[in-house]
Amino acid sequence: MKKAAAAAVKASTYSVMSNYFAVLGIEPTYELDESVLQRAYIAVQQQCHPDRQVGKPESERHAAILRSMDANEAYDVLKSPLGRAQQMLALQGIWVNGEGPDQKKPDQALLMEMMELRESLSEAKDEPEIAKVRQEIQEHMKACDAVLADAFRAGDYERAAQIAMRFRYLGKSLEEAMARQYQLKAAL
Amino acid sequence: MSLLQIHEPGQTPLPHAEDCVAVGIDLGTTHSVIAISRNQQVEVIKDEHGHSIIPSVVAYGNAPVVGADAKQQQAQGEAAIISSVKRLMGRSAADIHAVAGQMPFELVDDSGALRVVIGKRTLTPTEVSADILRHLKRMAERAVGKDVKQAVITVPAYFDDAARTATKDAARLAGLDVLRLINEPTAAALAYGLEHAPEGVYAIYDLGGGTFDISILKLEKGLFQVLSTGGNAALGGDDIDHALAEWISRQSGAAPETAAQLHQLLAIARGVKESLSEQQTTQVAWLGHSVAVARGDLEALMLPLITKTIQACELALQDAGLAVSDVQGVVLVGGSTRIPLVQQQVETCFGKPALRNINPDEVVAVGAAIQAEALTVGADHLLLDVVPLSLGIETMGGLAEKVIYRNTPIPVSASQEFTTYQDGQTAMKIHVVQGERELVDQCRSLANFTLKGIPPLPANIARIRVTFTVDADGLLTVSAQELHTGTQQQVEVKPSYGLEIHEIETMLRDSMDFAQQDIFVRMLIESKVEAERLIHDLQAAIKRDSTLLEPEEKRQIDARIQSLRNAISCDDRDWIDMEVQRLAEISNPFAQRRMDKAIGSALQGSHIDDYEAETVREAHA
Repeated sequence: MKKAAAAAVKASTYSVMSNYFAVLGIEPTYELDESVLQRAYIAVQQQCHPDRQVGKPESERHAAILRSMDANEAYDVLKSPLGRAQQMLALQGIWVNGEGPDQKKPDQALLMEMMELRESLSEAKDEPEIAKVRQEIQEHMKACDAVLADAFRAGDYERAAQIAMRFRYLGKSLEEAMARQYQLKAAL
Repeated sequence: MSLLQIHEPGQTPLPHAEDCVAVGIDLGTTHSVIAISRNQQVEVIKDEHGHSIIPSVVAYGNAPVVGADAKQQQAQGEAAIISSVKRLMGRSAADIHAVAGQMPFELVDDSGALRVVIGKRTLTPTEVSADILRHLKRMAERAVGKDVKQAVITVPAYFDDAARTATKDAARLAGLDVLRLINEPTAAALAYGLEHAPEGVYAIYDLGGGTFDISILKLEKGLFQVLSTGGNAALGGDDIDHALAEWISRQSGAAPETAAQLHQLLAIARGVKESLSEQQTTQVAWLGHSVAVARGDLEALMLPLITKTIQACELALQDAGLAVSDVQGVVLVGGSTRIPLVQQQVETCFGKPALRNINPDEVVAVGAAIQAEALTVGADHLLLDVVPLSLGIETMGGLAEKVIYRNTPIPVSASQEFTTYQDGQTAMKIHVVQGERELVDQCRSLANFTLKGIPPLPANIARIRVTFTVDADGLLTVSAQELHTGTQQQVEVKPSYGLEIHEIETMLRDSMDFAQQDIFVRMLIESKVEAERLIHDLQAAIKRDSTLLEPEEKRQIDARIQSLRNAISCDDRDWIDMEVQRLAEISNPFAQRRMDKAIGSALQGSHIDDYEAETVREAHA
């Protein structure tokens, strides 16, 4: 009896995994205040962290630890703007995280933009040039953040989806740029 | 014949907190300390010589000897000693090259496992650490007259999975159940009660004999988060001793010519260093020469070393994305922080006075003891730790694909899907690595296993989900599942650094051989613990189910409890055992009635189901 019950808890945890906002008990919103997130996260951990399960029965402990893990994952995802955007879209059944099936396709303009960005990254010869590209990417990302906030406020999920994808690609390019910058610096 | 305990869900009492105590252990590179916290009062345990700071050295003569006695055996040429074994924890034979020359003893490759050669024996670092832990455990048992079975053990924040696992294994060998491994800086913060301090960022500066660590912690609402760590694993008070020894030798014009003389000179240097923390000048005698040393001389020698530590502090702050002004307080840990110049430099760097009123050699063990009590009795604060280094698996081309990134809070579970690269491939090698680098060669190899039974499909079609789970101790379990067939395999990450389960078990048996000396003390303690547990359980049961007991029966049980108490107070093991037997027999009918009642109520109601339905609702909330 115990075992079946534990499995049921686990299965239900899986079904709520797709809603990180619910895991932390906060209203879904793209414009999430960091202190609100932090407070909600700590509130869950105060209850569910393994260290808080001293002397509790096994079934309860197990459920709590699963929830503690979920909260860690939710916190990790929701603290980044991209994670929040992807989560907001997932709640609408729109998948733009790049993993798993049913992913939304980026439009042609976005693909072209990214190809050009990649080219300018590979053509950059020295550290200052990379630094310049890197700064451009960071400015684009900042703009994405503002547009995403607008789109979600207006309930325009199609637009939000395109911007979220652009945001993700830009993030990857930024990583690449930083790695190359580091390489060039180390070579000096 | 034991008494049945019945508890409502959520009301299970703590496991006999009064019978066996949980300890906190600082298992250090140069020395170790053990402490106990009871009713929020911490006691640092002293050995029979009155010392609380136990050198982390083991002499291997006939039986292992730990601490100052081991050092003495070495000085008298009776036995060789192993020191600084902590540096080898979690290392495998592949690391021998990297550490060779740093250790004053020979290391060998025993089919992949790293072993230390001492006399005719070869030992794993885990076994040596277990000998130190066993010694500390006995010290504590002698001091409190109770069994010590549970411990919180501290590890450096940067310890990787293999080193943490090795530490846990060492504890197991020593007969200790690890309640939690906690990071040393976090323990120091707990010792200072920072969980009650104003919220903010704290720096923990730990300069020991051989290592330097700086950790940046964030404290908020009784919660500790490690933001960044840094340091130098080969920088410490010993380096100061060496620099000073060289200086004395130069000043006197008399260089040490034998190993024994060098030893003597280093001891003189250490003495000078310690006395100059109190005085301005001191005089030493070295090979017939008299040398005057002023604090200024010593400080000139130390400054470059201390400057290095300050630079590491700045780097750790940078890593955490913080400025010096963000730091609310600084805690000093490690014997070398008694040096006035160290205190002054740290205080200048952070622009505020440092916390240093707790003995810097004991502060980590004190924090560990506080956490041990928290985990057995409960507490307000909560430690939220992070994965110190990213965890991932090897993909084609020797790349490391990260599954869990560094600084992710634990416990955590994360999955990633992988696929086959050849048509008809039916097995997949899963190589688990830890580190920040992109290439597997530059990361630390943790484990290897093979997922078999993948259905033969064209390349890229099979879907293998690899799940990494890191528990609250920072220990990793990896499982892999093929999603079409459900074929599944799981490993607890362990083998790479060399210890297999059967090997641990052999070592557990071997360790029994050395326990002879304490076996009688131990048996008495075990009997007493068992007896007190029986009394405790029985009295709790009587309190709860007094209606199931006839007055005459209760009188008899009470009388037997009194006899058993007398036996316990006389420290007579045979008598205790006999009384335990009698008490168990006489209370057996009562135990039976309680069991019948429990089964009856279990058939009627279903507390557990009700309770779990509630948990599910909560998870959906």
